[in-house]
Amino acid sequence: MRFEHWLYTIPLRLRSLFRRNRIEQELDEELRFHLEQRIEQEIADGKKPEQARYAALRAMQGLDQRKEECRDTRRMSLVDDLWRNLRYGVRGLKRSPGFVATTVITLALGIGANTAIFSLVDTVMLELLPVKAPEQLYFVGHSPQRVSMTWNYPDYRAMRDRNTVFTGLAGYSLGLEPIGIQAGNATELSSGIFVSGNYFNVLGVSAALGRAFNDADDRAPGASPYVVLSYSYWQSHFNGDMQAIGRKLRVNDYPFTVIGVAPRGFAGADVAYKPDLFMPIMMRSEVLHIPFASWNDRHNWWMAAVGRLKPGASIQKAAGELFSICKHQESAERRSLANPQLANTADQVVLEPAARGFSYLAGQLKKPLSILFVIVAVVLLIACANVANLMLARGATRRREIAVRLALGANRRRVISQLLTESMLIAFLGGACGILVSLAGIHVLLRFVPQSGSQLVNGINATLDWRVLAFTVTVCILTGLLFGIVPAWQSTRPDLVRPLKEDVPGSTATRFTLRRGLVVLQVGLSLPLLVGAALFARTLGNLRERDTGFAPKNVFVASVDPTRFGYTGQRTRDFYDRLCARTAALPGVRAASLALLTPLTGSSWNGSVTVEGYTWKRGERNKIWLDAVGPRYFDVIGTPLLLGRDFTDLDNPATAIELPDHIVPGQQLPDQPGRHVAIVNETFARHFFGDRGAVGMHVAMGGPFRNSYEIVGVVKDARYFSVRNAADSMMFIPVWRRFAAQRELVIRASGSMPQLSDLLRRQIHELNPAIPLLNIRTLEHDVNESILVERLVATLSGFFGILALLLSAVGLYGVVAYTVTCRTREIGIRIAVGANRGSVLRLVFQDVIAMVFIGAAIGALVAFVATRAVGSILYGVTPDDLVSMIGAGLLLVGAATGASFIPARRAAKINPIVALRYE
Amino acid sequence: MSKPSDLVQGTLDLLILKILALEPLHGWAVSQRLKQVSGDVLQVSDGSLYPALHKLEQEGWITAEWKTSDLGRRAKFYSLTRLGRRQLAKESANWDRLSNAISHVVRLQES
Repeated sequence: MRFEHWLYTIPLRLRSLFRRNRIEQELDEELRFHLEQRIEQEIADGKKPEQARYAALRAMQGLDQRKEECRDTRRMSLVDDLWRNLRYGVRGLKRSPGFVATTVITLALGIGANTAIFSLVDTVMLELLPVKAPEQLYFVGHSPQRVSMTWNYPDYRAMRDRNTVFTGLAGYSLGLEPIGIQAGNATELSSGIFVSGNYFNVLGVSAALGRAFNDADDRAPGASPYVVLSYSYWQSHFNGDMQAIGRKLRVNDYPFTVIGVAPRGFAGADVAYKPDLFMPIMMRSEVLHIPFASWNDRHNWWMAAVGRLKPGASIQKAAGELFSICKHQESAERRSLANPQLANTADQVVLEPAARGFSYLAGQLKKPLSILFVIVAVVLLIACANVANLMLARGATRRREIAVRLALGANRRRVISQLLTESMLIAFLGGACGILVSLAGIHVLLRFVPQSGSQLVNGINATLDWRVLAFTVTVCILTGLLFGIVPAWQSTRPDLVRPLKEDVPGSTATRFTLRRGLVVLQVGLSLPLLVGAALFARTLGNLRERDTGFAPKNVFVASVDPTRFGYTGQRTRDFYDRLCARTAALPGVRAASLALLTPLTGSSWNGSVTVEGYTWKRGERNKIWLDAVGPRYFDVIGTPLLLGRDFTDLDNPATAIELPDHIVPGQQLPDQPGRHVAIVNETFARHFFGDRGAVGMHVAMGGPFRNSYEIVGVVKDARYFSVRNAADSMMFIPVWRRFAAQRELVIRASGSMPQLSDLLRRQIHELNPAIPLLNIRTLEHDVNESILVERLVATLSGFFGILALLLSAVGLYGVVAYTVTCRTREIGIRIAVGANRGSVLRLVFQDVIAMVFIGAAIGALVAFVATRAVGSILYGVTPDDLVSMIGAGLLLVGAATGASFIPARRAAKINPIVALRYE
Repeated sequence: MSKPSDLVQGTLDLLILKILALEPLHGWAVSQRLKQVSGDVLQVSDGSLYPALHKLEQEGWITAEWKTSDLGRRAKFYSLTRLGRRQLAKESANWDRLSNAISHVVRLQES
């Protein structure tokens, strides 16, 4: 039955869809035939031809209405109407290019902003790892004060081998290791990470080609010189050759064999980093030239752990079990040490979902991105209000046309769908332009995403993928409905048939209230954005002016690393010392020094210590921050020496220390000759010694060194890890006191960056032409990078706040201009009976003040609630900061006055005679 | 002139289907035939005939074909489909039931 029905109807539907013209013709012909027959009959009945024709048409009860009824029966409405509506809409829009341009630009800004922010949100927070069942994966972290995801190798290995809650616990090195790949005489820089043997297995990723690592690759240090290539590296460097397996690769001059290729799109569990090579953790010493003892140390935190939770295992139980394993590790270390106080305390273990991968960035950007996402949504809402306002105005000018169509038999539903199609058309045009806007916007946004100062990090790669496009399309549809539905409903109201008979401007009171309501809404939404922008701007300002304890102006930090080119021990030290001496002698250079760490790079070094005359309080962590710096380092970065003396070259051991490649944990290392001295910061001195004076006191360091350090100087506190937080206790030791490895060159110079980097390159080249200058940056750059998130939020919220203000001003202008036009007659009469310019202006501004006041009152309320949610990222201001509130309010009032001034002046200039003749 | 609203809801469809069951006809002929067979009692207005015909066509109950009429003019001839025949049977039965019921009510004796 149903099938037979379709047999007849489907061809008909298709015909009405594709043969529209022909069907129209046939309908016309059919009805004409009928009319002619009727006329003939009437004539036969004795009527005159004219009368007969009239009678025939009357019998039809309106030819066009009947035709429309016939068309209605075809019911291809969905597709058919859409097509017709589209064509009609395009024609309609072509007639008003000004309207289209205004609305499309408005929407493009709104939708573009949303697409840009969403694409970042998408990459940073939504994208799932391309692995098997990602929801079962958890990162293991620990929580001293803040949650840290960093682990040391012995504890990781203990957790991996002894836990009963994971099907597997994988480990990998954090961040990317810069790696030199040797081909012939040339060295090409690429990047790699070190992974445990079970890494691919735990993530549920199998090799696209060859094999991935397995437990055998974890067995012994140096025993598995195998490398798995990333898919893109295989494509770019091996041309996707299937024969790549088994090929040799010299990684930092150590021979490796390619055993596999990772699947396409897989870049590990760390979203921000895309390594070229995966290597077994067991090969760290061979590649990085650091001894096994150094990275297999409970005090060396360099890796992350991710596990696949067994079905049914609870997170609490897992965390509890891992904590007890770490506790066990702690007591084992206590037993092995002469001074048990130096043992590394086990922290509470926490598990965090890993389905979206780990990213330092994601954690850092989550809150700011959420804030920005809300901000751009509000901007889009304001843009929608503007477009709706314009649509209402357009509806007003079109109500004759619409009334005619309604009178001619078009039903209301059809006219509404026609108007909505037009809105959709505008929305999608806006969306298409919005995508262009967002493409530009993404680049601006990415400038704010830390790239770790190195091209080695591919960083976050925000692009327009299908999710972003789906988001944009959804936003387009929603905006189209949002700004389209009310105007469409308004302008097709049945009583609007009236305009056919009369056309009195100002007879549209309800619509007008609606337009004012929209302006109030815009004002109400703009104010919180402006307040927020002001708060974020003040936060950024406060951070910028913060005394960091060092003077970053004119300070440069250069990275050179001879250890990647086979330098070890004394050779490394000589290289750096010579380079430092040559640099200090360069023109324009005031001083140069070396350091393990410079401020605000995101790197840190801490260690357990015993302090003379101090007993640790219960629950206090026996750790302090450390750095190894050369003579004149404090001069270079501009940290004042408060007491005692600076380091000299004589504070370093006579020859560089080299650790043995393999040491048994707990084994005592040979004593380092020479006097051990240290410099501490103010907080250290105050915390451990109070008023007793730090100089001359002793500090013993944990780890393999037994000699205690004598404090010879105290420096001012410097903020090494965050501009926001006050400095913690920190101790500096001479730059070569520990074993010789990579150091940073710090320079105070008056020259420009290109000048200095040129001079520096020449010096390095003279020392060894094979060694490149990896990176040179200003210390100011590092400071700026460290407040990047605040800069991102402050800049963008400021931009969007101004955008919202402009959109609202345009909306207000439109409404005021419209009021003045509508009240021309009234104002004319007022002027005619003696009102002066001032009172006319007052008349107009009364209206504006009412709208702005109501809007601002609502806005202030919204701002009061909304700013509380962002309190945690503010610095130096409170959410109810009066300056920001008043500033935002003044800006709003200024913009409103500006926007209404032009129409108000026009009102005041109305010529009563012209106004009264109007109409 | 009787308006469509004078006809019981849905009866216009029944009448058209019945008339087309006898022979394929164009719209004008349908209106004339209806008038003729009902002895001028039933008249369908020109205005409502065509929407009704088009609706029946879209339902798949009648099908249209352009042919030359006896007067030598091209006209759109409608004829019943198999579906239409079934629909006619169904609607006739309905009509019988309805008219019988109404007759019964009307013939009730007043006491």
